[in-house]
Amino acid sequence: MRKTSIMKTVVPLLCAFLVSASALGCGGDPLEAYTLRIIAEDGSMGGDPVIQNAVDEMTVVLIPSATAGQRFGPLEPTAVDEGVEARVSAAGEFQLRIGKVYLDRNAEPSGTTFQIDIPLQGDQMDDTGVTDPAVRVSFIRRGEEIARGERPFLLWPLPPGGIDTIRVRCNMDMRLQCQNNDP
Amino acid sequence: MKARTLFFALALGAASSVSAQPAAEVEAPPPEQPDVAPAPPAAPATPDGPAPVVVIPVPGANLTEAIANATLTATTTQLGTVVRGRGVRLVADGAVVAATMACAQQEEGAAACRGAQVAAAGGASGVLVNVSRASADAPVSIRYEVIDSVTGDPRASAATELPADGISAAALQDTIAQLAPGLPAPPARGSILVAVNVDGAMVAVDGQMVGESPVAPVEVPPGSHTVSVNRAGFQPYSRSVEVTLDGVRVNADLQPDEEEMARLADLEDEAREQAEGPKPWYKRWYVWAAAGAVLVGASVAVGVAAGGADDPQGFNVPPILP
Repeated sequence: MRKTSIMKTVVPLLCAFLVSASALGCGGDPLEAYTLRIIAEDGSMGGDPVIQNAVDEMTVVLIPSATAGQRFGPLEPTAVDEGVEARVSAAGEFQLRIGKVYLDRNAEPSGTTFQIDIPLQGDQMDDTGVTDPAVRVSFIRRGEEIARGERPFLLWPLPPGGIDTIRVRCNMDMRLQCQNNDP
Repeated sequence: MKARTLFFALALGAASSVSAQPAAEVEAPPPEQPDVAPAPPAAPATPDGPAPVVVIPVPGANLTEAIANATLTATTTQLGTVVRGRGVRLVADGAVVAATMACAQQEEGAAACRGAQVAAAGGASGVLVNVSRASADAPVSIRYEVIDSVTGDPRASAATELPADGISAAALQDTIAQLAPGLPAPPARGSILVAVNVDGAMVAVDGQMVGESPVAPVEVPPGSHTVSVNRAGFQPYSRSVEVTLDGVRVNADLQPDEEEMARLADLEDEAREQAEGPKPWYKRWYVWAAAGAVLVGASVAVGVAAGGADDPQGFNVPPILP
């Protein structure tokens, strides 16, 4: 093959690679998110299973220690993604309201039910003196909570790249609703 | 050369035994070996080609081996130029030499006897070479006789005298030329002139290497022949040609192969650049290649970065206030 032809091919490719690599490198890596893995109960623990189609909406609430008088900084209701709204309530709780669109797009099958990862991120490096907040996840159907899961605390500040799991169980007397059947 | 020297010794020995002439200067008597390997022909003769001319030495008096060698070598060489392409064969069999010389002793049938010896030696015609000196200091007397292989009759003859140290093919040229009417005509030959567009290419005719281009015309018998030309970096050339007595010219235009084409193109580029001087920066290919690459690279980077923006790293959680 002709020497100049080789150069005319190799040099632009090399330049393009270097430019791409440099440009991407200049952006820096975004801080890795902490993941809250929400697993819908599948009935193996004795409760009733919750299927994805039964859930219209999901709320994730981070609850600071009330006894220590702590609260999240103020945050007006803000759409942070398609069908996802974040706010801090009057009680100082951080709330994520996650709609069905987001749920359907991100949920994955887990056994006979489903699971969904919620990425959380924040600059909590100065929060080293606070008490670890609790977390509560609710599945909502037709405006009514049909399943709930709670953890007493999350490691705080949220460790980047960390994963915590929370299982959401069907509420008492909501067996049919959790199966996408209404009485 | 060793076999030829041995042959001359044989011939001289045969001469001394037949003619009973003294051979005082012959160093060694001939060994009793009936089948000495024949000397190579003086001129190439194909196995299927026309019958060659055989040279039969007839040594005479006062002859040394050196003179005999010089005479016969010069004779076969010069004969080769006269019967070009037919071939000249020096008879190496001492028995044939002796028998030929013995023919002269016969009162009747001497000619037929000589013809039979020529035929036995495989020649269409024979050239008897009689070499002798009157004394050890006298010039060398050389006498040729062309003998018909069928009748044994002489067809032509010629003679000359040369000093012992002056025997050569050139010196014998005129004398041997006088034999031409009695010798078979050289076979018809055509020629192939192979003209190659590049020097240093290996030229072969009928698979036999002729040399590197440029090559002189090659003589071949009329008919079909294959010319092939090869050189590294070029596509091989091969062609069958019909050669006539008028000769034929073959123009072998070697085409560069792919690698050679690339190399030549690079050389051409370099030569053009040297001739035209340095190009302005905006006419250099790598400037625009680099510009294009930067554009593409930047687009890719922006695209990737923008695509990444759609993929949230996480929902932002405000800090907890004490």
